[in-house]
Amino acid sequence: MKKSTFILYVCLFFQLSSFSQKYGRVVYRVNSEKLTQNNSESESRKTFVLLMNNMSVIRDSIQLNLDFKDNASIFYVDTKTNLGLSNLKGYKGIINSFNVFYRNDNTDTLIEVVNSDKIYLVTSKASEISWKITNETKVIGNYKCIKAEGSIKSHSLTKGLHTKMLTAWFCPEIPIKLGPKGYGGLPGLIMELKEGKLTYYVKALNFNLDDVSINKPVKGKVIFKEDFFNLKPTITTDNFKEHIGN
Amino acid sequence: MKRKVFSVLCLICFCIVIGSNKLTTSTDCIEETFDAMDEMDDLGYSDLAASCMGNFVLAACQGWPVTIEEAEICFDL
Repeated sequence: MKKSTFILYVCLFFQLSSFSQKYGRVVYRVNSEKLTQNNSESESRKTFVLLMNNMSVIRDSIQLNLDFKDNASIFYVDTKTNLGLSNLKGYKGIINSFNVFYRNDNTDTLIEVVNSDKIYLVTSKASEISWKITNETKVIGNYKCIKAEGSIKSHSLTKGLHTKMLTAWFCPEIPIKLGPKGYGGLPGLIMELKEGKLTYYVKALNFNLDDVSINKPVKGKVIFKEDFFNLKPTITTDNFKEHIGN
Repeated sequence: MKRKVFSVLCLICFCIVIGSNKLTTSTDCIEETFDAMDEMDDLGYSDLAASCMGNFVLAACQGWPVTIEEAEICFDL
């Protein structure tokens, strides 16, 4: 009994020491939920679904990196991979649909770089999300992960200001309190994150990098998240014609 | 007699105008456009791409000849 306990402690020590590095890279990929249609739906709907599902094929092949060092991290599209896809129509737009996220837990800062009419550095608190950790578990790769549910304020054209629900599966065995899209704050790396119709999942972990440089985004107009939301229009049936169809 | 013909013509014109107006504000097409833009948002696309696609979905729903190739421009914005 004592011997087995000793072996367990030794294993635990090596496990934790292997993650004691202060820098590294987590590679994520995305799985887009396929849109569905039925035969009774209009031709325009069928065309839309076909187009979106074609675009999801490109999107799901893109690699996203989460580089971290000390208490700072940056999440971005790795444009150096998937070069074979760069000639496909829609590739540029899909790359642009993934914003860069910079997170610093020392300063409790999250910056999302949004490229629209100009570049905005949308700033909020890194600790903004409140997570509810559940009892549900599942194994991802070789790691036992725990389900957490979160919510965050968001804005979209059709919903306006609303609360977006998130589901994260984090792994306490990897004590890195980070995840995709600047999400984090859970007691372990987010191995899987569902947001809307997108699921981000870990494709690779690399803790053997020589070094990682995390550069805080500085090019763009700094704006608080709430102020940025106020700039965005909300389309309703009343003002529909002002935005769509003209 | 001329007056009656004129009145009937006016009535026909009025019906055409009302009818075409109904076409452009068809609730079904607006709903379809809203749903499409919602799905674009859920798939993480930008507002710019979603509103661009909304225009294409609305046009296609209203019977305008829109091709997939034309709509793909929304992903290159």
